[in-house]
Amino acid sequence: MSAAVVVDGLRVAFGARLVLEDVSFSLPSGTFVGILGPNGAGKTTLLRALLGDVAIEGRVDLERPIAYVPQLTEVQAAFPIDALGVVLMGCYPRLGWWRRPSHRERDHARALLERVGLADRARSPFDELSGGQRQRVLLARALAQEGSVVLLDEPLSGIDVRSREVMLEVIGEQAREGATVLMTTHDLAEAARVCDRMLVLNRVLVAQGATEEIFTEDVLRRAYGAGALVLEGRTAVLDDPHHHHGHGHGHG
Amino acid sequence: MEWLIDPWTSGIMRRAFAEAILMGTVAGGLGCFVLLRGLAFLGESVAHTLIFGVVVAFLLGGPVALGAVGAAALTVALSSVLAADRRFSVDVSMGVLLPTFFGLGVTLIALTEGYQTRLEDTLFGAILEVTDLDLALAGAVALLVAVTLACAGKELVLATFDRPMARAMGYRLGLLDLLLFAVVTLAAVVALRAVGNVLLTAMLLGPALSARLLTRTFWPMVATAAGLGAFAGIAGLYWSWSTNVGGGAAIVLVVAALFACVAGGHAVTSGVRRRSPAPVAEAGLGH
Repeated sequence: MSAAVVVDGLRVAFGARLVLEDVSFSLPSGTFVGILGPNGAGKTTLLRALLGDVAIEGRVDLERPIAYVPQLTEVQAAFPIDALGVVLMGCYPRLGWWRRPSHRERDHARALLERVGLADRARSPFDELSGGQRQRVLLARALAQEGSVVLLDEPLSGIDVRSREVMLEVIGEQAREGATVLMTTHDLAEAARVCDRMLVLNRVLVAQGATEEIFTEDVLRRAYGAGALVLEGRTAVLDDPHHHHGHGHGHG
Repeated sequence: MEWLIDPWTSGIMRRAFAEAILMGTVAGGLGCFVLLRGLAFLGESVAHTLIFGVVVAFLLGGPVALGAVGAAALTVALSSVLAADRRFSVDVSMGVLLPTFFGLGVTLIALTEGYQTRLEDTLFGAILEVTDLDLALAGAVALLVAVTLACAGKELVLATFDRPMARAMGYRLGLLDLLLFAVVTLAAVVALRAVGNVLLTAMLLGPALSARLLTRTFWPMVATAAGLGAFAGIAGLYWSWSTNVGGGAAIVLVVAALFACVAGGHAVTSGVRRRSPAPVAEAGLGH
């Protein structure tokens, strides 16, 4: 299998603050990768480096196009737009500057909304949807981007159980159809259940590999330090109580 | 019906109507971006920077409108130079430049014999003194705004709704911001002539606020705001014609009255909607 994502010697610093250092990995097409690590470990920064959105040292090579699901908090939810309008944004780069989405794009966007279980909410204003529904709309928009690589930033944070199920099902399907999926998450248990591979970050790449190799007490201790608790042979990770996303409580 | 036709018999009023309609449409429509991007500050400060250009034009004996356009172009160009440094956003650089220009303008006014009498025109507009050049400028700005929204409207919406996504898709946010600021500044130049420096922000934000309450998605909101802006222009001029109230003030008061009606109606209908399904549960929750 050819590598869909190659990162070699990646280093990212914001001013004097070193956020990522000496990160190298390569991922074959069709893998579903979980990016784990405590708060401030550089998970979001890694995604931004893959997107080409921050100044980096080292090499980052990935197949294009890239589909992207930003953190829900980054979106201006109060903007007057309906779910269909959000999904249609996924095809803007293909359309070019002056063309508006045609019937073909609209039909496709409706089909994608159906795929995330929101066929009946196409005309609902985005700010009238629940957090989980909004997240599913953003996922449908990423599907509209038809990316070879799909990047998701905390897609499971603070959403309802049904949305979480739908999200994971659709994301997994993407990977099985050949897309390379990278997802940051705080939810270790969920990541262990659905991801093929894991990248464990804490400024440096603490560990990487197949899920069953990574999900060990030793690795988790190295990544989370004192936050990792071992109880009767099972490892639990205490999430940072001062959670900077403000809506991710109760995971881990 | 005579009162309806009467104002149109005067050449001065016909020009004023044309200016008010163009200004109301452009400021109303673009005001939606100003409102949703939280750029109210930009509209306010642009109004201040333009004073500098107006005074310089007066000193050189040139047309006032061209002075304002010159000042606007200079501001946008300088702010883009400043904003090239990633540590400053475009609105921060605007925030530095605009008070500077305002200070320059005020200083020039103090030093200029005979300008004080025209200061009032700049502050409150002089829609009855609109020249053919002003009208041509307003028309050109309206056309430019229409072309901009047709070519980059959906990209500007994306950059407002979801900046990380716009960046991830490879759009250059700095350039999109600059484009938006440039057309807003040009709209401010047009509105300066009609309603003046002090009342300009009301023209940008008032129709957009009303339209936000009346619509659910963005482009209908823009169309509604543009329509409300144009309507306020026409209605304000009728009022001004029949009562001798200043044109700019009358237009802005119509904008305010429209918003009061829309907001009042919205409060009543959403109150009814909220109360009807669960009157007990909703009572006393401070809605």
